[in-house]
Amino acid sequence: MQQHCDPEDLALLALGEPVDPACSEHVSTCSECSADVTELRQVVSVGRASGGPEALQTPPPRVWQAISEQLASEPVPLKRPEPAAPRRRWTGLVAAAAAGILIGGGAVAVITGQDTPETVVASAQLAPMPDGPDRGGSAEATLNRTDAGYTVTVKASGVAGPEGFYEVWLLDPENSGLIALGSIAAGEQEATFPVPDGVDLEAFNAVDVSDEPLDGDPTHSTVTVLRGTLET
Amino acid sequence: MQDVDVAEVGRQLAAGDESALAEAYERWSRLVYTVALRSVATQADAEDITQAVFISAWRSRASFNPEAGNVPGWLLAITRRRIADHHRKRRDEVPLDNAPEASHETPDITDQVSVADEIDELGEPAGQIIRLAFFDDLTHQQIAERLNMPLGTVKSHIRRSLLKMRARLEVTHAAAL
Repeated sequence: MQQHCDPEDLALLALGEPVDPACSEHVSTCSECSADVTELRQVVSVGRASGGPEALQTPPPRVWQAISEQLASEPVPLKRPEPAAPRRRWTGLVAAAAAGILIGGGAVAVITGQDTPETVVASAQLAPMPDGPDRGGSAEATLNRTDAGYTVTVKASGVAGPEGFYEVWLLDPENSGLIALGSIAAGEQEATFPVPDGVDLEAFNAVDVSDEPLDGDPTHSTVTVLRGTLET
Repeated sequence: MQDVDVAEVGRQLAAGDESALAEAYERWSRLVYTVALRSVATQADAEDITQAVFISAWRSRASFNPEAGNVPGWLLAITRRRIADHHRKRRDEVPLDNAPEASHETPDITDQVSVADEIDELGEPAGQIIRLAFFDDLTHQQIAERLNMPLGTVKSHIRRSLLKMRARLEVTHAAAL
């Protein structure tokens, strides 16, 4: 009995070409070689039916335009907050706390919390986005009222390190508005950020943590690793 | 586009790199669009499906595992779901008896388009050899004469190219599961 066919001859058989009679005879009795021919014959038949690369059609340019427009209109992969859940708004609290030291946009001081007693007025459990990266661990954010104004504290544990650095934002989910609060160093478990004075905290009612590349671009990278809605 | 590393595009996409989506579109939009064109009635529907596939791919990029899958197989899996959604919506609009059984033809279509795309990726002279063998029905001797190549070279290109196409069909099927 002849040894196995040359694999290249099996490919020719699959194409329907005649080969060395000894090989043809061998294939009829060898399950291994005949299985190979059968598989390759399927490939040939799909390939012949395919029409080849010339059959591939290019979509008109408007398709990519529509995709990029749609993606541009959602700078952050936003999920609309559930409208039904009745949750207390804390607008009143914000308005009532208008007194106190105003923090200018440029000259923000880091508020340690030790110097100024603070009251937690709202909190959020931060969770990964359904279609964003999941870095594990858990995180919580609180909105605090202090004598010096509002602060946001983010506490995280077990969250894996960023690709670049983690940046904390206040988010207005309705209008895709974003206010950068500051960055958290890798491994840092707790950080507090002053909220610029005058922010409409009813609109900016969510905390978003993004992974920012070290590219000097101050805008949101769109890579949200954690997000949660502040609720009283 | 052959020099673009398929696995690298997958890694960048999973990492949220927007340029990787543009790369994936550049490279595989013909694959998605051609499958869609052959599976639905109108060009406008095929364009809508192509758009939806890349939007879905971007939104669900974190669920793509670059170690386990490949981008074209994954895009085709999304394409199949979008086409099935499209037909389901249509079926809801027509009496059941008239429902088109389009889902049955989809695997053949994706196989054919995947193989066409693989032939496109073979490079030369392998691509030309396969075209002559598949579509001009030339024997390997005739191809060798036509291209002025040794018989052994033609034969080994044929075998290797068929194996690449077979591997492509395997990943396409794996991604569908």
